[in-house]
Amino acid sequence: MTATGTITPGTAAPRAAVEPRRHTRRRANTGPTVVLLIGALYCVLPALWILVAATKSNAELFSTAPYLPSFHGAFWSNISGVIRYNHGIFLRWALNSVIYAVGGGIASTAIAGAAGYALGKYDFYGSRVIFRVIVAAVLLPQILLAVPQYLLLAKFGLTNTYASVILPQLVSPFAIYLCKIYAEASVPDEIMEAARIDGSSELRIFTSVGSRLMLPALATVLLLQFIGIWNNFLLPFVMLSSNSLYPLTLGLYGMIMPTGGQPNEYSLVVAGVFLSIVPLAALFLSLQRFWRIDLISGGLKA
Amino acid sequence: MAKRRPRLLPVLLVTPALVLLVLFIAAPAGYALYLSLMKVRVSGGLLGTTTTQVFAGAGNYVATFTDPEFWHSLGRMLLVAVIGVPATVILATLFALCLDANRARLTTVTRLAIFLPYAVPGVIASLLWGFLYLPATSPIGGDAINYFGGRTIFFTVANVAVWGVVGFNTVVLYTALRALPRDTCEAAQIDGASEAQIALRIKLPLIAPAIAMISLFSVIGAMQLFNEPTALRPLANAITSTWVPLMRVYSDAFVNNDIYGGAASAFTLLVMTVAATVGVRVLANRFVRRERG
Amino acid sequence: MARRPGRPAPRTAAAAAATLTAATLALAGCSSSGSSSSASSSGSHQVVHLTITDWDNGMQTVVGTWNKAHPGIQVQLIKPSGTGYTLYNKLITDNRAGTNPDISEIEYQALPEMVANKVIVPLDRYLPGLAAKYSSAALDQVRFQGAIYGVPQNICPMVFFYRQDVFSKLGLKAPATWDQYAADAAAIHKANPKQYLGNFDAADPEWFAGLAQQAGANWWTTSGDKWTVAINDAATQKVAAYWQGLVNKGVISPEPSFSTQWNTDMNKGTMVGWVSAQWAPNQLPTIAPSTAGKWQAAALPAWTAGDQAVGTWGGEAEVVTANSKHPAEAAQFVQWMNSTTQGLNLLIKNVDAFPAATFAQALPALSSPPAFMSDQPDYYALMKTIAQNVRGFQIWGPNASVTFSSYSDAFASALQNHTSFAQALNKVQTTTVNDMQKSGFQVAG
Repeated sequence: MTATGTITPGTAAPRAAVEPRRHTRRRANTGPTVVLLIGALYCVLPALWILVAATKSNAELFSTAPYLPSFHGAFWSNISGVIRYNHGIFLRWALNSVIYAVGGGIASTAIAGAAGYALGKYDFYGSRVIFRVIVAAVLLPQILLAVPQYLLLAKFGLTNTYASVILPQLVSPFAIYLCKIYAEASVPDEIMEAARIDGSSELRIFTSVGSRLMLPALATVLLLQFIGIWNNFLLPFVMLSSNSLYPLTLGLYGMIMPTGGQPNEYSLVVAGVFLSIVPLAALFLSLQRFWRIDLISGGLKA
Repeated sequence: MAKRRPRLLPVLLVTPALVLLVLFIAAPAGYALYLSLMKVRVSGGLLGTTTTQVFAGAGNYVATFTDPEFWHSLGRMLLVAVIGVPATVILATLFALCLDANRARLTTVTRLAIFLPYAVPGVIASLLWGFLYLPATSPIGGDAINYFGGRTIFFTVANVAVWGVVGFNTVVLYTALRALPRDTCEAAQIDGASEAQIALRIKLPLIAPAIAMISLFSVIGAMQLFNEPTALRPLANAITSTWVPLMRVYSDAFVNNDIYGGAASAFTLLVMTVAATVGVRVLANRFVRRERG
Repeated sequence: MARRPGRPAPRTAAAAAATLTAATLALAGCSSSGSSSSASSSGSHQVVHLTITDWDNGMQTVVGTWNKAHPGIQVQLIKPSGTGYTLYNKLITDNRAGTNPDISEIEYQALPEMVANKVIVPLDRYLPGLAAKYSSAALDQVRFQGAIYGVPQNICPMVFFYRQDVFSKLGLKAPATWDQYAADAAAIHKANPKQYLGNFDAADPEWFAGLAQQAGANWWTTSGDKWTVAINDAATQKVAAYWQGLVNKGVISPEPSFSTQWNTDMNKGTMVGWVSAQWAPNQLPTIAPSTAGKWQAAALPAWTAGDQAVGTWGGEAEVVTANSKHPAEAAQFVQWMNSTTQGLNLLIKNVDAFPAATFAQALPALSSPPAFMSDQPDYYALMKTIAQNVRGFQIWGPNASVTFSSYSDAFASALQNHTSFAQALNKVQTTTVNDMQKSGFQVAG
């Protein structure tokens, strides 16, 4: 994993920075546009269906045409129904998801960033071994680790707490890997040397130069960690037994799939799923300026 | 790289990650490995007055290897992978190239739409698609097509998985494309090459490493297939509780109270994943070298 | 209640608030409740805090009533994150970690597995007078190796439900025998090829076990310390062959109960019968609300006319866990809830349970039918009669979880691939025996 050929901001002059798209010069290229439209439709189809389904009451859900929305006011009663469900537990679940994803996301990004910087910019005793171990750890499936992690936390009485869901997710081998790649690519040795000659301590270099240059990577890693933790189902499933600590995934799963067969008010479930998708989609649609996934592809030339 | 002078800062910076790695990954993995070598014996009385954990040696692993159901589940997972991995890679490449094509329209909107499924948790996505497949609620012909049939189930499951990851992979390839130097494509255009030719002959070889990486991650993801079949299981008689290897691990550990057998199956799968990873890397390197000429 | 979760219990914040209030009151003015066994207390009264895991709807009211009347023993309700064997497995894992709640709701068929894994404790020393309140059939469900391991809550005999309106239109009467049921199923399906009299549930092993019980099967028997496993015995094979015939002819739906498709069918009126159990009226309002008042309950069809034996589908006991630090108080609560008039009245009213305690089956609370069966005022009287002829297995196996898991897989495959149910049964048998032997249980033959 050498630094040659990786993307460094400001050096290789990617096309987007140099030349604006030439949209208006000739008529639009229909082939790619059509392909993209079909692809977009495919990706958005289930979300569209959920929107239509959320407008139906339970009886309508199974008796009306699937692609036709209903305008009998069921949408608002479904939304309010799911929010009022079980004394408002839905909002509690949403809050929990935010706590886990934001808290866990920020903490794990910070830890990954620090480790990535250390592994990428310094060559110390054991650094290569550590990195190889981290890369290998990416292969371990979470199911294997879930029960042992549970038994470990139980020894300290930490199960069924917020910590039990956040702690195991604080270290993400993939995030550390990304940060290391980007640290190598975006923090030039020359700048560090220059700062050293100027008398800065290593800590100063890290806080004022290194971390600032890594910010785009950190933003991206934060996004990936946030989504990963938000979507995580298995870990909270193992660790948590109190309804009031569940994230949305676990809560909705309980509403949707009771083991042992209990009927559901499917229309509430549909509304719940709809509500859980919308905020996340809106969130990263609005944030998509701030993150760049090029660092992932940037690390591949190795 | 910094000279090999002992510095304190990097050690400090890497320590939190290391400690957490040991606590939450290495230790549990080690414990799971230990468990895979043990089993429980009941003794004394009808329901057992004592339950002891005894050394089982390779017993659990032998049980896994000699269980035909394990190999069936492996086969089913491979079948889904054979459908899903190429679909993911081809679709991602296609979408990325189209996004990057000259004068393609609506790229911002479609790019965001394609990325959207990544934000949907796997369990939820499977349920959404479940509704789309069920005859009662399906807007895509669930009445006419049996999406849960013995053969169609593989495409059904693969579809949900592909849907969830194609956006992420598209964006990875797209950003790789955006980083390509402008000159070669321009030169080809001046020479009269069509858009498609530029895409296939010039851009594709240049992003070969990126394609190799997403292939690798797709393979790893396919071997760890779990969320989609689990979530679809209540809807389909075709999906059993051990339909893919990780479901078997889950079933052993969480339903049958056999974490020992579950650990052994999981490590067996892990070794196979490593082997597959190595295999894919070898193939990928060959692909990259060939594209590079 | 019999079936696993419906509405989850209200947030434990409410319970916590109630607990806090009651505890404060208790501490402020020393309570005069002498029933708590605080033998070690001297003068001032220590409040004992207990936790109970229960998935039934309406439990908060039951727990709250106790808490108000017993300031010295405060109980907190916890809704589990998984139910059925997911929950039981969690209890086994948590037992090792020492984090189990004091009390849990456990279905009868899982009790032997709990005992084998040392998760629960015998209650004889805490509740000496318990046995008198139950029939021996009810006690057999909770008694192992001479000790009583739980307090039975309810009994859930299987019952046949059918759409009265559809039957009258076709001139049919509730089938008294299984032959009659087959004929009725064929008639209904012929009149309307989209309509079914019932479904074969490959996803719920206990449903099938209940039918096997009716036919006289005994999946597990014991003699001394030895087990005999006979899941594929003649009686069970008879049941399997019967239903296979119906499925093959296409007159019975292969959809599991509570599945989306089945739900739709119930709603639309294309499913007009349900081989179910006593608790069905508690579930039907959410399954098919528009059909309220159109259903009738009748005794399950019999193999020979006049034979009233019937199996069970569901049913729980409450147990005290080995992790509990206050087993005596926990046992007290459980006894109150499941075997006293006050407790059972609350259960009947809030959880729709049909009590296992013999005296309670005649309680006045049971004199009016559940809301969904308003057209059948004598519903509970019917239940009482049916309950007298309940027949169960001698004992459930120590690894029933494996048996059940194997059943769902084997029968789902059989339905999917149109292979024989008999083969599926054999598979369940071999899987169960192998697992028991692997764990060290002595299995005969």
